[in-house]
Amino acid sequence: MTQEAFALIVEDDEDLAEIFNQALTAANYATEIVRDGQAAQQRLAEVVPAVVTLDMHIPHISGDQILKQIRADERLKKTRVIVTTADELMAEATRGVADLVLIKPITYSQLRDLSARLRPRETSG
Amino acid sequence: MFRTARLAENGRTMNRFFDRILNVAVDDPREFRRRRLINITLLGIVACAAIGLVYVRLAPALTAEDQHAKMMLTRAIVSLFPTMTIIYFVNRRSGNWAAFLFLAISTLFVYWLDAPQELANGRSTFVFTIPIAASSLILFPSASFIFAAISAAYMFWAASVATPPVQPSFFALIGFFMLALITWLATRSLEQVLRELQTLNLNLDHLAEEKTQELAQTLVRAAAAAGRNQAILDSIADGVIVFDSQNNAILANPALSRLINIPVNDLINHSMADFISRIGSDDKRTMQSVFEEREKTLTGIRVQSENKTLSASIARVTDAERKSIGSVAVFRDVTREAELEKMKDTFVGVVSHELRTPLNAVLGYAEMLKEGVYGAINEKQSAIAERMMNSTKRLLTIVGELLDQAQIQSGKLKIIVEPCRPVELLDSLHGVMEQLATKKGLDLQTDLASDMPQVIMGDSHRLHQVLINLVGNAIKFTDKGFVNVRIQPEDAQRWQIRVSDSGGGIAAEAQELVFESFRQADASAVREHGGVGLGLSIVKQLVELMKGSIRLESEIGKGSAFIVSLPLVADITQTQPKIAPPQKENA
Repeated sequence: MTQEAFALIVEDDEDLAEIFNQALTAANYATEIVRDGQAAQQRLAEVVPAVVTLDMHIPHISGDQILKQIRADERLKKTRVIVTTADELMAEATRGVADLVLIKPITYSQLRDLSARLRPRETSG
Repeated sequence: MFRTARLAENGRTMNRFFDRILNVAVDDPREFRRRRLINITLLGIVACAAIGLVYVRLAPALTAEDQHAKMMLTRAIVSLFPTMTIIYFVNRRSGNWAAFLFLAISTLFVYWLDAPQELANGRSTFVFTIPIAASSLILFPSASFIFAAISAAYMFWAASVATPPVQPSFFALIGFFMLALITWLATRSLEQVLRELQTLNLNLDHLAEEKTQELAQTLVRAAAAAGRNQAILDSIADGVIVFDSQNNAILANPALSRLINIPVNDLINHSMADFISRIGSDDKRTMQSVFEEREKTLTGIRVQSENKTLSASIARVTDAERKSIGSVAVFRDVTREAELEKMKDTFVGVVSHELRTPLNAVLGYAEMLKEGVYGAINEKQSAIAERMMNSTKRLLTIVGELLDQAQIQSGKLKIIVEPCRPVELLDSLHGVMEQLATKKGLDLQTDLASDMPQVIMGDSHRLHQVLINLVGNAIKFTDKGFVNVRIQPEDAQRWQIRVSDSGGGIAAEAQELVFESFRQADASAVREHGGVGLGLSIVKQLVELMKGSIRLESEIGKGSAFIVSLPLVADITQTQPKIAPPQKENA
């Protein structure tokens, strides 16, 4: 990896955000944490992250909504989305849309190892 | 035909006429019979007298003596009519007096009838037989002897006053006593038979009376029981409705009427289909099928009727020959319980979720400490961090189980059926559980039957959960040896997961309990092995949600085997993902 990839952490819980932050940092990502849907939407309009960890239950705009917006945005087509949720039904529903679905509890090493293996999406055509 | 009918009708009218003349209204059947006999005799004499009168009047009388005799006879016969009429009326008042009067007059009549020599030894000796025979019948049996004696004395007297005196007829005298004897015997035996008949009648009367009383009592009791049953039915707080074999409501109680807001009269005599459509259940088809289930008794069926939640129990009513004669349904208002259950489920769901997040944080921090993310730590500190991680993982498992349980019970847990590969199930199981098994020194064996289809339809996530729970349980309760997991076809329609171990086994009496929530076969096992006893209960509920079944084969000292049986082709229609089906994943 020539240049440090950027990872956006969308998580309302302070502690989990810290753990994800540490895990992604350990996997060589430059990280930034946003705490709600609105902030996530704003930030995603400005940057193109290589990875987004997306909590489904967040204030203002739901994770599901954000996921749909990312998938609809041509600019973000290389962005990998890791859905992090405790809701198994939600997890099942997003399984095909997200690149990776992690059901909480998510451990530090789990996210570190998995995110390290994620490569930016290949542009088609 | 018409003629015969008319004759028969005439005959009946005649009989009624004679009955009216001959019968005297008295209660004692013997007295009734005696008075009727006297009346018949009187009637017979009147009839004979009438014939005799006609004969006497028509007979030629050439000489003066003949003329005299004819006049005397006419007088005698004519005098019979008022005499018999008097006796007839006496008979209506007193049978005894009539009998005495009749016998006295007939004896006197004999004296008056003919010349003394003819009476003592001639053409008229036979007339003595009339009072002798009649006395037995109309007075009392032995009266015939008295009249035989009177007749004998009379004969001797007549013989002595006859001019010239004659000898009384010896054969007639013997004949009188013979006749007295015969009539005495005949009447006596007749009376005896009558007495026996009377006793028999009396017994029959008693019996009839007893039976009537019994019947009356039974009827009273039945009425009381019916009244009591109705009273019980009316005071039951649960709604009760009974259908006959034609599925028409024949009985309903006021409680049901209150529960579903329909008057009792609008329920009775209406059909079951009508009833089901009127209780406003969300699931009418289920109700119908439950009612039509001929064999079973079904309990705890939830029925949503307007704003109430009812729990229905339905049973077939069978007679002594086990033939279905209808069905009975009992409805209980469980609105409050249902609300509480829902609140409990929501509460458990929220609490579990809220517990998970901080636990996840504890786990993450402990792991990061151990991994040295926040700086180097010594070996002892690392060991402590690992213990924190393990404890947190255990807590997370318990919370996860509680959440699963809550979701299953509230019906929120859905089975998502998609193609899944048994070999992958076993691989991932091995990946997750091998470390745990190895740590305990156990051999975790996974085994896939060669004739098992490569791809089956099922919920891989839930199947994985079932496997993890069963294997985790087996590892927990096995101290040495192995835990074996085998996936194999069961028959053409089903496949099975068999998880066996070389553990201590489960006692027969405890085997039924292992699938119950919050239960472990041995209470001490809770302290020894931890957990809240939800694992196997969740497995059972998951398996049942997947339309499968689970059973346990175990013997103390010989290990245990849990056998899960599942359909090979799952019913996909009943389980749908909440959101649109997944898009094709990128490679």
